[in-house]
Amino acid sequence: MVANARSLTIGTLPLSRAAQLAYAPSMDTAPEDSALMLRYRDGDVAAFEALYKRHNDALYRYLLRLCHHRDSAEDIFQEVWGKIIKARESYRPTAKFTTFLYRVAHNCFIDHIRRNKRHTRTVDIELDHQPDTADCTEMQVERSLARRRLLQALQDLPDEQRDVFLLHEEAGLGLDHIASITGTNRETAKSRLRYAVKKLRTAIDEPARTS
Amino acid sequence: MTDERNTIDSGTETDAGVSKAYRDTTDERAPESLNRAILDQAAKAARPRYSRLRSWTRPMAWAATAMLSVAIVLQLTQAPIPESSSFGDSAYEMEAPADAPVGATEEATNAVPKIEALRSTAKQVAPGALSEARQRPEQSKATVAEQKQTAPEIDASEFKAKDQDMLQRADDMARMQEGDNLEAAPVNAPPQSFSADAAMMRLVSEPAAPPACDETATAAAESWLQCIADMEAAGLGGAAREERKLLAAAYPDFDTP
Repeated sequence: MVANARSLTIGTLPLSRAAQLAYAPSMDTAPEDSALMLRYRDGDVAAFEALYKRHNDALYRYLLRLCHHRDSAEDIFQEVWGKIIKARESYRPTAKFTTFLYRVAHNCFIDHIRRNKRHTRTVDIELDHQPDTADCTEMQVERSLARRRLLQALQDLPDEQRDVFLLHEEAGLGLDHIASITGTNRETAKSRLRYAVKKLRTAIDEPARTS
Repeated sequence: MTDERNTIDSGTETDAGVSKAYRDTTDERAPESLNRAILDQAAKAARPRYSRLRSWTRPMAWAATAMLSVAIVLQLTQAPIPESSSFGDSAYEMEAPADAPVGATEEATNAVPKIEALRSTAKQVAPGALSEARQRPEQSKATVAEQKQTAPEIDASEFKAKDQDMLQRADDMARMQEGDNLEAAPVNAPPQSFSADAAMMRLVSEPAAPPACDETATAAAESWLQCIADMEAAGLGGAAREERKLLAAAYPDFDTP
């Protein structure tokens, strides 16, 4: 896992460079999020609450599925937002806030793996919520099984592919931004995303094939 | 958020079915306790570090420190040297107690050569000062007494008279150190303490006046005559003759030897 995590950053940019870029982004702007961040920089706490509510759940899921460990995900989640709060004084709206946020999260995840050398791939999250048997229809059962297979396949993905897929699905980022966050070039990010989607598609379709 | 995702080129990277299936699994949310902790942290960080009531104290302290520094520097650099025209005033500032005359004697010993050097310098600077002072007939005892009564008005003649007194005292001190005329030490010699530095400052600041008997000596004809005798004994014959003339003018009835 450590080796995988390292390979996430080995691409085109070293980790230190990637960390610098996280706090000095230079891409296009997202006016709404940036405006909220600027208002928070000027002391408007309500602006931060709005910004937080806009991104907190997606970021939490991103970290949870990247870590496979709820406690670690919560620790990193808190660390990420702590860094965002600290960075408010030096924040400049020269980049899309989502890119900035997920770059910080990505680097915090890498740092977390490095700090915890004995990081193991233990999974303590529930793959699926079991549907209530009372109103359990055949379709619901099928959907539930599909979800379980998807999440299981997601956990089985290599870290790099899972990271790219989660950035694509949870953060809604394009390939350029994903490549920037993961420290790779666009083609590498595109390739990883393609492989990830292919494996997940296979996992979802597998029961149909077997049947 | 999904706009950019949909613009990703071709359907090779994205799969609508996979995305839809994944979005069905996104029902997990961040714990409420975590949300509250982060929002509290954000609110705490946004609070101003110092209250408005105390925000003025730091700049005020800096301003006060700067003003004090400037004032002290100006005071030290531009303060004039105290215009203490009276030799006696400055001379007795370091007056030693009666039971400790040794220090004062040493101080006077150190002062003698300095005063002698200054005296010669002063004579070079103002060679005509002695004759000029002696050529003033109106500078009689009556005039001096009158000026003494109007003491608050600063007058150059008063300064000269006091400087003469100072030089006289310096001469007396020098003679005492040389030991040639210890008995002839004048009655009005300074008591045990002698501020040589102050005397030196006065000598440098103004040209030295010729030696003469002070007001105390000229108060009575006998003491004046004694003062003249002291001057003659000290080798100041010219000054003694001038004093004799003044004595004769002030006390025409007094029989001078």
